[in-house]
Amino acid sequence: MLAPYTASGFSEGACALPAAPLAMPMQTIEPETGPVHRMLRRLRPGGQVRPSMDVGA
Amino acid sequence: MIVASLLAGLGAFILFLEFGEATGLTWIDVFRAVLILISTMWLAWGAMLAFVGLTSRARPPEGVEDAPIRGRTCVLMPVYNENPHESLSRIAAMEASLREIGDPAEIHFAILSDTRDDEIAAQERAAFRRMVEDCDGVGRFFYRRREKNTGKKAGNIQDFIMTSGAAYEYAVILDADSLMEGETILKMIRRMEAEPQLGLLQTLPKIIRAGSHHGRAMQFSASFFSPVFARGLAMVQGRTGPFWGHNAIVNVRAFAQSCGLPELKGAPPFGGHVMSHDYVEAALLSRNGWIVRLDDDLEGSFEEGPENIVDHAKRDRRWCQGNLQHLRIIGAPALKPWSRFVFVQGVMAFIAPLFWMGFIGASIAAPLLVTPPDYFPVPGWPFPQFPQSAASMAISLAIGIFGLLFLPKLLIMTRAIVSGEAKRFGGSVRVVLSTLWELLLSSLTAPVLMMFTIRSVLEVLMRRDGGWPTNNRGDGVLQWPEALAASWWIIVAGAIGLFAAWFLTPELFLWLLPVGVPMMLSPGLLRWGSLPSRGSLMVTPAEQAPGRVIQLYDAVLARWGVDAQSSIPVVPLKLPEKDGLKA
Repeated sequence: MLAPYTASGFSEGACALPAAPLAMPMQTIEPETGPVHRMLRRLRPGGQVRPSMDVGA
Repeated sequence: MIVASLLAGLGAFILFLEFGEATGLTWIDVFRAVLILISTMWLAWGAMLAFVGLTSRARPPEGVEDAPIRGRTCVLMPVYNENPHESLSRIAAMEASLREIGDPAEIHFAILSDTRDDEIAAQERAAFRRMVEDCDGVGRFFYRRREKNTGKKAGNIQDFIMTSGAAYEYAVILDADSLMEGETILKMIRRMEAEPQLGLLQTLPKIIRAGSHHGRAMQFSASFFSPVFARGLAMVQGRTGPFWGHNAIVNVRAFAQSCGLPELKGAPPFGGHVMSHDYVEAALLSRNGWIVRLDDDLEGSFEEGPENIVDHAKRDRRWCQGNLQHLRIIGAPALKPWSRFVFVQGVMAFIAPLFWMGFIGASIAAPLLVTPPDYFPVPGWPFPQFPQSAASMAISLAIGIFGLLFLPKLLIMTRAIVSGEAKRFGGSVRVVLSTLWELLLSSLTAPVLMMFTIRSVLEVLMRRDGGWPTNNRGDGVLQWPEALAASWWIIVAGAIGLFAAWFLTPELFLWLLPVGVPMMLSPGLLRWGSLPSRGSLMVTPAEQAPGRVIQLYDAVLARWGVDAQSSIPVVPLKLPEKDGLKA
């Protein structure tokens, strides 16, 4: 049987993670809406189809 | 391959329709034909992976095995209420393995604790201090515990990168039960350096240290069959490869640039943090132009598996929720088509049992819905007498489906015998017997696991959490009450199914027994599967000749006074309070 362990020469500060930040930008992982919503959104109340991009820009 | 799977599914679909047409096509025939189409396509896809894996060979990159290493690497072990003595002794073994083959100075180790239990956290800190002392690891070993485990494992890794990522070129991501040879880690780093566009390199971890019937069957399967399927996957996925969340190395800057995961809109199970983050991270790396590759030729990568079917089902429950959540992500902008297909595959893996069960249910209930033809005109004779034209089609269909199920494994067995690979698994005779035994066991457990999967899918769709009975025993043995509590509803479902078949379609009764009997016997299967295995079958190379890191792991466990079987420290790790680490 081993003797209970006792630490020696251990430095708490030396075992903290190094401070070296790296940016991690959030990604877009969801479509804006589902295909059904997209289709419905494109249909104006009067039945006209809204363009999918701003053609006037 | 996709086309071949589609053709196989369409072939089964047409055969089934023609078979139905021979006696008058009804809507239930069409419904069942559609279910057969989907199920056969899924089976064919798995079989195709095996055929590609059997006919191709991994080609390790040339000229990189001895190249000097320039970048710094951190080996990350995220832990969450794990047994710290086991987890950290794995780190100590990997460090010792690295030290044996070279200078590990530029390889650091970080324990990223998300442990919520203060008592376990105190043990973690004590074990960590012992490990640092043991390995003379000051300056190379790090420990931090998060106050909140936001984002779970993905959030834990993200927190590391946002705190310390700039200090490292590469990060080896592990699970708490991961173990990797030092040589394998060095090879991975060299391959990353040789290919600057490589964002992530995944290895194929083999299951080790299984002790139960179920665990050893999984271990044999992972060691004997999985490499062929993985080879097929590596060939098919190419530069848009898989990430399984551990036993992999990432380019830290690529990961930071690509893999910041936001929470999904809405509440769990479909909203909230991304559960199966690994598939998503692989897809995002590919989207940003990084290569994600599975190098299945890399040996020396290990993990541990569930020791009983209940733990297996609990793990599947999490994976089920995670994979179904990917339905929200399939349409994410600019993903590679292959990444989207991987999400579909993940969803199919969990909903396929619904199609099989739907087919069986529809077949039993068919007489209630339409007037059935009489395939069994001779009383007491169990074999169907189809009209001449339909009989051959039905038999072709059955052979085709069983072929897709069993042929890949039988071909892998044959190749192992012919190539001499069987020696590593105990010789040809043992390999044949082990394969047949594994086929029998997997056939018996398949209906039970299918029921657990169906329950998981339904729970997720109903936005409910699972209510699994817990198993707190260190050895994973399920007692009869635990086995019964976990599976009583499967017995009920099996009994209802067989009872309905007996009255509605007695001619199908015998044919449904391979599904119904394992369901009725499920507590026995759960209990038996969890018992220690003492048989001489299902031998793996890691059992016959454990790799160096496994030997080192055993040595560390012995040195630290941890019982390898129960994982309970023989001697509690105690430290003077003045040396305490802050959480």
